[in-house]
Amino acid sequence: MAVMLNRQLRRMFHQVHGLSAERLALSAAVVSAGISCGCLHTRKMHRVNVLSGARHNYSEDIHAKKFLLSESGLNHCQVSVQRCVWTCKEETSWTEHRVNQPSGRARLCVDNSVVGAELLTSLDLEPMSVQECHSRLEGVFQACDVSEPHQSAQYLIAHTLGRKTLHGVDPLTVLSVSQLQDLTTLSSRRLTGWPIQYVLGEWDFRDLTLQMAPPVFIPRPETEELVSHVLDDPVVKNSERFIEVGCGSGAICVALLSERPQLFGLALERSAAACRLTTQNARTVGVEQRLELLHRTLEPRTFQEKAFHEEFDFLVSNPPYIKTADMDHLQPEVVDFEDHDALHGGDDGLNVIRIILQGAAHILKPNGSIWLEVDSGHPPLIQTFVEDDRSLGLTYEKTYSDFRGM
Amino acid sequence: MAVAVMHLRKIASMQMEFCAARRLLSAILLRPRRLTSLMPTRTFLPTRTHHYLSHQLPCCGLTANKCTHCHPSGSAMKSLQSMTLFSTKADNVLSFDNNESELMQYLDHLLDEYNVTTLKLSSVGEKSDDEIHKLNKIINNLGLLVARIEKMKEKRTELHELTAIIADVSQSGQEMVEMAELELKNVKEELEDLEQEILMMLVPYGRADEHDIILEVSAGVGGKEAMLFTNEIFNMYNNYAAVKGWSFDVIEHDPSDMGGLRKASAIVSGQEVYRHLKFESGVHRVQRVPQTEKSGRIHTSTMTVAVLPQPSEIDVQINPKDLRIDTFRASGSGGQHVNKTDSAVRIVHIPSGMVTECQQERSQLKNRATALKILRSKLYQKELTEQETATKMKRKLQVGTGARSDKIRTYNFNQDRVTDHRIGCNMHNLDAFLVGGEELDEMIDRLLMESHKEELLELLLEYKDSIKSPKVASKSGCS
Repeated sequence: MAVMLNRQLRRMFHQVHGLSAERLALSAAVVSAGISCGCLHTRKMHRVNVLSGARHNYSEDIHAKKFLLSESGLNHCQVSVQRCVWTCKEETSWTEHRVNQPSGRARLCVDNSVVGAELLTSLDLEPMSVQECHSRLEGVFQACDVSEPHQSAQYLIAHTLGRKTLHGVDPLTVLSVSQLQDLTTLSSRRLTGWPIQYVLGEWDFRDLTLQMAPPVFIPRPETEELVSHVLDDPVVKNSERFIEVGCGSGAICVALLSERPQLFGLALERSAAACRLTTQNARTVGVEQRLELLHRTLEPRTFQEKAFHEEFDFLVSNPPYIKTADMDHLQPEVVDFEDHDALHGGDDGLNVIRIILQGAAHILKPNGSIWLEVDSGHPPLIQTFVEDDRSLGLTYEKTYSDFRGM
Repeated sequence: MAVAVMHLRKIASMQMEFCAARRLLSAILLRPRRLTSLMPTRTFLPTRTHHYLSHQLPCCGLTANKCTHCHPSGSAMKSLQSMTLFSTKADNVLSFDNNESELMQYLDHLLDEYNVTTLKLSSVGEKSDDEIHKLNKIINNLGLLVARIEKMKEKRTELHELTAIIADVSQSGQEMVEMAELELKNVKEELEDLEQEILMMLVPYGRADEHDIILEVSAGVGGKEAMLFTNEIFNMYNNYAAVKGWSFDVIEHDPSDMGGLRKASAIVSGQEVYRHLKFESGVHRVQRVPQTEKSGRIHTSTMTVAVLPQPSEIDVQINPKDLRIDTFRASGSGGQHVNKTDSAVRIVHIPSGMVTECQQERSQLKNRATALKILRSKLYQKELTEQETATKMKRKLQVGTGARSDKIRTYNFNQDRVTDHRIGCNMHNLDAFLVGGEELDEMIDRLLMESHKEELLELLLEYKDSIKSPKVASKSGCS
């Protein structure tokens, strides 16, 4: 792996000087690996930093083994690389490099990818059993402070075998060299902190397997339950049309459509990437005929449109509900890679929820339902909001805490 | 910071005035969730629909699922006729010839009951709907059986007449005797068939017989050898399921290195799975020279099989309040704040202390559903076992007693012999047996027949006891 990187890196960096900022993007892993391989000089690094501007790009080129990062990621990369360069010069240890952006929020473990890349090189030397591979990969992840090392290793190895988990796989199964190479590719991405769902490009939601792509929000287990509650509602059995606000990857609407063949849905989504993903998922599951997708940002006047008047039997949403104060305390995988527009709900987390509630009565049929996933502190606030303002035309029904009862 | 799901509703205009009243009820309700199954059970299993076509029985012309009186399994019928285990001649209790035998007494009792009920139904006078319903139920249950019994009695009379003709040659004449002898053969055959049918119909279908099951295997004493053996047995059942046309979906698989199996479980579904596999529960013992053994000594190792019938939700009611569900989140954050891929779920049923867990799938919801399904099966099994131990007779064939140390079967490779200790049955060709084909099927058939016999005996003994006591129990055989 080290040898391959060297050659490719050298090729890449020969090209670097000729490319404009728009077309260049480098991952911290590759860069750091390059440094550790000694094929990069500090001066060139600085030039790379200047050249690699602030472009926001999520495509992938497997042949050149280029991994692309978000805009914020690139910024980290620049800073981290500088740090690494200096450290390299000073020959201090790699272990503690937590880089803080001015906002105090973001960090990226470049050092992990360096150490990891070196450890990973040993993986594809010769075919090995699933068992051994799993324990070694778990060790690498653990050493590099990757969260959930055991599960990450499991899912990655299972993916190279064409499966979802390692259950039922004979631990003595031998992984071929090409499989190990695939694994190394996936693992090095995981080492830079990419959520597993993005690394694999897919994840399960209830009965479905949906495509995932950064920075589109990854559906959570709690949302699987939201769909359960909706489906349990007797009203839904007789429903025809529903609307979803903020569909993201399309998990909720596609799951509802696939489990209730009589339903038709309309989904609103502000992110183009999310719209693309939702369309893709709807197509794969086979429900795209019954789903209408609107690429639109939700505003107070959105629901006032004539076309929407009393159109829907119910509204469902997992809106961004995180308070500003909490945005600093999110899991790194979340804050570094998922779209903040899908997370941040304003100072109290209720911005989007308020807009939904204010316009809901207009678009719902009489006795139509609203199903929302909200933060734990929200129910009393929302209940008061709804009951104090009768002009909203809504009544509070029930709150379901998650199944653990907390 | 957990997560909550909120349900709100748009007020239909009439209800606007009632908003104020609703305010009084504005506590946040933590409503226990109805633990209904999320979607039809089958969706969670890969959909391999093998239909086990059971034979149509001549007795009523209905197929297995619809006829609860006749034992549906064609193979069992075949076994009854070909094997002598169910010999009615040897047993006094089960004798058709002896009019004083418990069996004949019981059959007469059933006939009486039927006639009495018919009279009651057709009698003039006020009867409540409930009463009519009850009477009709008895008629339905007994109808077919009674028809058989009466036919059997007819045939018996014929038999006696024919025997008389044959015995007295001088009276009847040579021609008559020859005709009688031919007739006799036919009548005897028909009589045998009828008797077997009646015996089958007397015992009601087991409560759980039609259910799918969860099959669990685990290695016992013997280290690596035990684990290798566990693997072989698991494969045996896998093949048997294929032969029978059932689907076999592995939900847990914990292998050891070197090809052994520590523990595994699978959901086996199809027709009458529980009925066939219920007697496989217990400790299986193997005696052979292990692969790892260098000096050629014979070792004895064991493995345990557990068969859990899968009840529907009506069979086992679980109160959500009785459950504690554990997932990766020890405390606090969830929802949008966190992205965790550990989807393992553990469910603790507080009243009984039973624990089930599942981490088979990437979806936590699916894992929870599976864990709940396993819990339901275990609770059901416990219930069934308690019921069984309440029976009077000490049966040879008990289902899942919980006394897991009961060795039910020994596989002796040196002597190429497999012995089932409960019925004292020996079979050879061990390699073929472990393939899980006809040989295993035959042993299971024998077990079923023996069990059936025991149930019948118990039924008759209970009847005998009931007529001794002043209160006459009006219990019909097929209820």
